[in-house]
Amino acid sequence: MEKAFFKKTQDKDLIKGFISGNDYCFDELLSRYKSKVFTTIYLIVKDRCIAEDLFQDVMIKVVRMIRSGKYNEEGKFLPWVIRIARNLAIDHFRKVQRNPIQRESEDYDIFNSVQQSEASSEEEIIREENARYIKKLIQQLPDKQREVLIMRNYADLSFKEIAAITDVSINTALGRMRYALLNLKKLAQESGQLQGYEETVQR
Amino acid sequence: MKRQFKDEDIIRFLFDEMSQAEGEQFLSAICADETLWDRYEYFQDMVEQIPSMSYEPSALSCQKVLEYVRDTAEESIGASIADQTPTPGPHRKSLLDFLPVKINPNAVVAVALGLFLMIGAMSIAYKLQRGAIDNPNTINTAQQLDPIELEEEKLDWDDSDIQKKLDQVRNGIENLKEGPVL
Repeated sequence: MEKAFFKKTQDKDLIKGFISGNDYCFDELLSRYKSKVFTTIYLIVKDRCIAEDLFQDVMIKVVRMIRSGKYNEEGKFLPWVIRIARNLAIDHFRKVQRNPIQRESEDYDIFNSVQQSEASSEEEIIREENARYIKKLIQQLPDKQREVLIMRNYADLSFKEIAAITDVSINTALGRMRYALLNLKKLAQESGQLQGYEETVQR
Repeated sequence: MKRQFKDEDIIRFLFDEMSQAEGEQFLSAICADETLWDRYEYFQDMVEQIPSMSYEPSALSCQKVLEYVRDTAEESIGASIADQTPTPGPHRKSLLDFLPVKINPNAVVAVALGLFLMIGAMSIAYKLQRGAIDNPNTINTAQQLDPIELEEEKLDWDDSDIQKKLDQVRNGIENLKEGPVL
């Protein structure tokens, strides 16, 4: 079948196709969501190598669960995968807490790996600097607030979906997002490193 | 009664999670309430500052996942269903793949079915014909309409009753040839 055909196919139909033995349906699901799933995992665990391992574990678990008929959330494939990713990330942190390992990459800043495009103007340089700085601030947020912010901004999940994944009410999810934004602002004000930012904050 | 909007409502508006009606209500509220407008700008500024980020898993990770999918395909329940309705692909070779000319498998099935039906029909026709010769009691319609031919065939049977009847028929025919007596 043509690849273009799969591009237009809905998630639920791709899952049905995969269950009935068409592996190409899973190829399409993977290419559709790999970036969002991996970005979410990476921002949660903050380590590229661990994120790669967890990504594989998540996708293999997804395959097993679909084949064993445990997937029943029609039309909500991504939130379901993100839930699995989040649970595996939590399991990973629990293991690390039980058996702490000194990793070489501990000092590794995940944002160093972000490719910097050649800034053509001063404005662009400032914007890139600010973006890098905000990324660092996001990593300083409390886990629950960071989790909501990552899922909303980088996995494109709705607050309703985030609430379902994290087993809280929508108001709690919204409240966590509110605190995340307030804390980001507070951290930015404390450090005062954000260029061109003070004017808007001081208003 | 005028609705009071909270910070959470501002966040819902900023992330486009309000219905159109609620959004319009919110916009009129921030235009009328300066405090609410300030809160809106405060959050909007921070939301806009959040940079867009997208990371890709390595090609090796994706390859390992896809290898797992292929390797475990035959073990899965899905694969057993798939075997009943095979989907041609690069990893699924069939005899048709080795032919120099591409042939539609459906056409092959149709031709085979047609041949099968034709052979079946011919076989039945042959058996019927054989049965008519082997079984003297089977008389076809053409024979019934031609008493002379019937007579010739039945002469060999040496059946006195039938012979008598044939004689009667023959006499009848002779009478008819002479014409009716007016």
